[in-house]
Amino acid sequence: MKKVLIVLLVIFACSIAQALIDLNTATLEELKTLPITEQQAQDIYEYREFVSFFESIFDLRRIDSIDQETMLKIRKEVKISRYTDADEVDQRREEIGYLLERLGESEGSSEGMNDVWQDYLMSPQNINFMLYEDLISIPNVSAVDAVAILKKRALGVKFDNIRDIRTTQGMSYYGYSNLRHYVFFDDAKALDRVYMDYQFKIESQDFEEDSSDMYKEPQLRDTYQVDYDELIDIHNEIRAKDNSYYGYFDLDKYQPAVSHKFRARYKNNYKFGLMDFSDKTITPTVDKGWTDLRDDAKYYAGYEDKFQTHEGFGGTYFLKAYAGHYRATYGEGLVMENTDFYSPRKTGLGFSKRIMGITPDLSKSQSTALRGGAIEVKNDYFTSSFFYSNEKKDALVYMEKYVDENGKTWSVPVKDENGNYQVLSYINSTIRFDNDDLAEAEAHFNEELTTTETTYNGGQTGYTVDYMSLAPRKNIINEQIIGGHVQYNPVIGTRLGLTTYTATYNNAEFIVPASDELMRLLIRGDNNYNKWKQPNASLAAMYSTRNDSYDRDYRRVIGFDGGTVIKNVSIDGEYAELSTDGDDMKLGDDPKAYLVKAHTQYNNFYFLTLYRNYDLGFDNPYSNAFAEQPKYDDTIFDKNVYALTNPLIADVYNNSSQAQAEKGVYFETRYQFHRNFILGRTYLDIFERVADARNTVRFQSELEYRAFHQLRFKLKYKNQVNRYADDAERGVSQSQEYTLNARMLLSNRNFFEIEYRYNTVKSPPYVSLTNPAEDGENTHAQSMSYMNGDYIAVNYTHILSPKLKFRGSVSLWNGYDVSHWDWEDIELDFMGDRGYKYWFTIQNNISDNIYLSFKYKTKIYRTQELFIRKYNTTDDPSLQEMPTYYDRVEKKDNTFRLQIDYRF
Amino acid sequence: MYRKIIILLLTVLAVGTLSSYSLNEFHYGYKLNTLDATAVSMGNTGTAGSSNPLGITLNAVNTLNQNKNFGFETTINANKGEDKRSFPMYNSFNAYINESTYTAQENIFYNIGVALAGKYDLDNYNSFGFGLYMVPRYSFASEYNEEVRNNDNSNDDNYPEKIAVNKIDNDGAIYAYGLSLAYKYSFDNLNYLKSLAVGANIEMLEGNAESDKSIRFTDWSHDAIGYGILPDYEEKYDRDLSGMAMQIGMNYELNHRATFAFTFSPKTTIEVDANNAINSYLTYADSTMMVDYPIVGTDSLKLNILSEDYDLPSSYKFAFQLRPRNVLKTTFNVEAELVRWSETNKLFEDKYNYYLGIEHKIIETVPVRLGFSSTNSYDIAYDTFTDTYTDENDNEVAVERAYEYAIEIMTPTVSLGTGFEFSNRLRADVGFSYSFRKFETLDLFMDEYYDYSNLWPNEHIDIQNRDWSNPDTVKENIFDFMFSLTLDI
Repeated sequence: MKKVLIVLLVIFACSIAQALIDLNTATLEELKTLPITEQQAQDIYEYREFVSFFESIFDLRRIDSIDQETMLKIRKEVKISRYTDADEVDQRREEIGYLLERLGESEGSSEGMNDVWQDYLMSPQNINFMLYEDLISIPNVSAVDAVAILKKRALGVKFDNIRDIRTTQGMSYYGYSNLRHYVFFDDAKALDRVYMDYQFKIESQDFEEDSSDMYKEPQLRDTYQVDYDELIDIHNEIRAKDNSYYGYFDLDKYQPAVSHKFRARYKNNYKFGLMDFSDKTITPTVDKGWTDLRDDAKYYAGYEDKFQTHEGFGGTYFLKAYAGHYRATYGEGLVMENTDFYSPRKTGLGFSKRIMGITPDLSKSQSTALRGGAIEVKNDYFTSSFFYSNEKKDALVYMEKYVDENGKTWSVPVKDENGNYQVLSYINSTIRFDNDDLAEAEAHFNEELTTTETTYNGGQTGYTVDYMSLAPRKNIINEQIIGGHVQYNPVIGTRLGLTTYTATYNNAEFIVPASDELMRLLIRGDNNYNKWKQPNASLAAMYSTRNDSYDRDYRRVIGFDGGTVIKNVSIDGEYAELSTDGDDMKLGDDPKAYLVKAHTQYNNFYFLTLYRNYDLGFDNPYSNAFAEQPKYDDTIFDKNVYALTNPLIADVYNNSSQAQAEKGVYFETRYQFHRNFILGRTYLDIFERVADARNTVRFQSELEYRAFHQLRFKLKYKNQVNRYADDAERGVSQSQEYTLNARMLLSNRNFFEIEYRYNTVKSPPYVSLTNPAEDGENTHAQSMSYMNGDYIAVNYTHILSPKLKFRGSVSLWNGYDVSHWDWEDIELDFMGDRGYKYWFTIQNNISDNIYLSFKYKTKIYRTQELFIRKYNTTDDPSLQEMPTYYDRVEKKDNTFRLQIDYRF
Repeated sequence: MYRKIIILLLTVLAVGTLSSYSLNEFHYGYKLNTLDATAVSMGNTGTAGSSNPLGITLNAVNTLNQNKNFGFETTINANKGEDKRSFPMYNSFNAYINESTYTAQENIFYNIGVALAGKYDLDNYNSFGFGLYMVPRYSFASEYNEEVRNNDNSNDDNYPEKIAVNKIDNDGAIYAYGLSLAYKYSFDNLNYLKSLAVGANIEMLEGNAESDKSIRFTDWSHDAIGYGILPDYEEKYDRDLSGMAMQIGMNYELNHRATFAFTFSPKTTIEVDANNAINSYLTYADSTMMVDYPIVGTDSLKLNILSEDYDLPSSYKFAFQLRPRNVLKTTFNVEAELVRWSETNKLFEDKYNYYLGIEHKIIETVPVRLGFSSTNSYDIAYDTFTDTYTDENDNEVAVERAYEYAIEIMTPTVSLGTGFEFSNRLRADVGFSYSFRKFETLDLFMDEYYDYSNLWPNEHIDIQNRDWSNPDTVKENIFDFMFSLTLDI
């Protein structure tokens, strides 16, 4: 029923009610019969239609044209009935509006999980049927909480209201306060109707530093080891901006990213979704043909339901079946968790949750997207899911030289005698250029690589690699995945699972040469071979489908996971192996990765201990497990983009979602030890990076003092030491960060915050920026560097009304060589150099079902660009008088984001 | 009091001059979407449901939305345009790192617009609307000043010498003098249709665009090189522009909350009557002499194009207005427009523009308006290349050929505004909008023109023209302030 009418007047009033005019239902003509002016009648009508229903006669005074006298005059002739046009769905939205808002805004980092949570917020699940996986997939609900609920249910207790959850033995307050929004106590809440959500987002974003460097790195550089006269000539030359991908593809052109996302579902059973996204150089959705949409868009259609069977057949079964794009997540994400988004220290607890099993996928993940069909059946004892995906993937492809009749040098993908492409790895490109555009660009850059007169390679002219020998290509690999997960739950909270998948490639083979050969392939000039350092071992350890001991067309990962809950301690773990030359059925003979964690929970305290150990050769693109750093950190893709033959391949690192190979132990805790004091999230991570055996210890702690409810101070300290055990080498680096934060909660939920941060970095000299020491060449002292920087920010939130909220922030930083990270309202911003920025967000509820948010940001860098590095040149005295810096460079970026959510 | 205000307004209108927005709308002019402060502060929306008289320029059907039977509105607009040009810079790895600003302009200009609109309800079902308006539609005016300096003395904290002064002075606009007519039929008992309205705007477009571009060498340069050597340069274009335009509008009022609207503006041809000249002058100690200026490919192409008639693209706009029940008494407008740029030039592509506006009433009489729009436009740039062919005597002949580029410019705009009621018949609205855009274009004054070695005492300089591989980056900030006064009679 669209309208709910509740008449409060009791029967004796009904007789006189006939004569009275109801302000909440009267027509304009009826209102005009009152002893007021026509304008006043019109104003009353407009107030009711466009502002609010009347709750009492005194609301009339909110109308400008109605004074006290007029109100008193008509008081006896009117009545106010209780009336609302909000149906149950609107009311539910009102109840959970702030949660929906929060989820809607933070879509980026959650990779589509918010869609699932939003659905469950709107159509809560019946807690009396939820399984272990369903419960732990809800934000902030732990395994101990889930087991507490299940055990209470196993005793025959039916949950009838939220008090039943609150009083569950072993349930934490955090678990309870989050769970209550996502559950209901019978099935009635999933209304028999169709729900639809449409989201439109338009935003302009700058490239992050890594991507920006990659695109700006030109394809041709003269060596910078030149004498003074030559140097002057270089700087007087007119250089071509289109010698970089940035200039060639005109990437500073103002072209915001636009995304459309549409989801529809009937109750919680039938689901449908479609998302398309366009960015710089990518065709807008409205101009796309069906073929483009099929290849680029994300979509799904699915069915979910539960079936009651006889107790002897396992009781209640839950079924999920999806066609199109879906996500699959199991265990600790070692075998399968298909997201492109890497987040450090993903413990699977608290705010870094995983939603277990099969879920629909409308996220922006492309590289690890699965498209095909998936089915999941589970009950209290067994869970089984199977998935099939057939999708074209982007890859980094080996190229060969082809000179056309006009003498133009093209890079053409290499194919073997069977027609298979030779591939180094998957790649998740920051911008997915079309293949034809890439080929044109490479031909353009090859021209310069082949004609340069720079002397390399033992006196020969030209670069060691004089054409683009490796390049990304869009949708080039045909990848078919078959996989599944089976799990047995012998007792509540205890489970044993097996996960595996096999990705078959029918038109490509992965070839990874030995380290030296790989170095010569990736680096353009032999003068940069000294940049090939130990961490690059992780590149040489990438997976090949063909090597000396086997030749195949697939990649297979097999693993098992399990966990149990003992009182208030949950223990979980996963072990996975990537099949190489070992036996699939034998443990320990292939590259492996494993993780074990124990989580102890009290009401005001938790403690997590986690141990992980990942082999260098465990190269599983579909894994997304706990780690400090993403894979390929500190490799040539990270540190020496300028040395690469083709800078675009740095995206293998920039957008890597895999964990790096590391082994170590991680402790995390939070403890509220006093009413006014909280030891916030505190962790200690001691680990070794496997590629170069670098030891690191990282510690972070927060102390919060709640003076009283409205005033809170937070002190945060972070310390990271790399190579702490390397006494003999000058390789120890240490960074420290101190943050003081004060928060004031003002009246009307307004909010004011001020934060100051100071950090220091002690490190060895960056040899990548200086030349190898040679006589008379290098005057820069090779000693420890000490850098510091600080940052101050003020944030303010003003809630003008529940329908209109402003948030704004101003911050100022002095980075020098230190960089800062800053959480804005939903984005994470990276700030280097010196500068200041301000941003504001307007969050606006147009009506009950239209939500709009707009953000505008201006960020101004004040940089001094190095014109020439003095210490790299000869001791020509005239050089000392040269201006070292360009002072006039100022970088200013305006960015905006507009998001409209329409739920109906 | 009203008379005083109107007299004051007319005085301001009389001194108001036409504005400049951007150097880059040299050909087609900068399109002024509307001059209604309410519409501007709501992201240039108002195609559906605008009740202000100047709203009729967006859709003729808006004549029927007047608060009273007859309305008059006038708007004064102050515009500040900032234009920053920079060239690319490279680090010591020769990597492109950033832009270095070499010139910045800051100009303030004024605009005015007036409209009259009225409606007549024949009975409960049939209504007629009419309106008259005069608004500037396309502005050509702009100013640019650039000093060309050498790099002498800069190491010693002195100002380098001024070699020449480059100026561009553009002026003019196309005014629209329009008549609006509309008809509405209201339905009684349909729950899917409250009223249906159609209307049309017929506009006479008249205007003039003048452009004056010059390079004048300074006395210092003449002293350094000798008199009678350095040629000053002057380009003049004077165009009379005229045409007729039409817009058809429709409104579909679903109920008192939701209104859909559609407008269609067909392709319009602007006839150009041009008078163009490129001249060169030599300066002597006591006189100036005009000399022949060699017309090269680019110049001849530019002269031809500026003399040709040009087409304004057709456009289709879909608009939706929602007035939900909201404690802030909210009006929400969202519009999408398809502009068929491809009809006017083969280098252009069709583009979509988006407009979005919100009005909240924090208290009954004081609205807060917010808006956002994203629009696209094009300009033409020219370049030359040297082509060779073999003539009948088997000699290889080099010829300079010119060709055009399309520069696509996207303009996102954010806006806000409010309004005040003096009485229930007279109200004032203010709107503020800020647009920013960034695009690439060629250097307006190519550097080789100043390539006389004595002008550049520092030996480490090699003057060359920057072509499309090193174009300028142009950043523009456009601040618009509008003040509208509306009288309902």
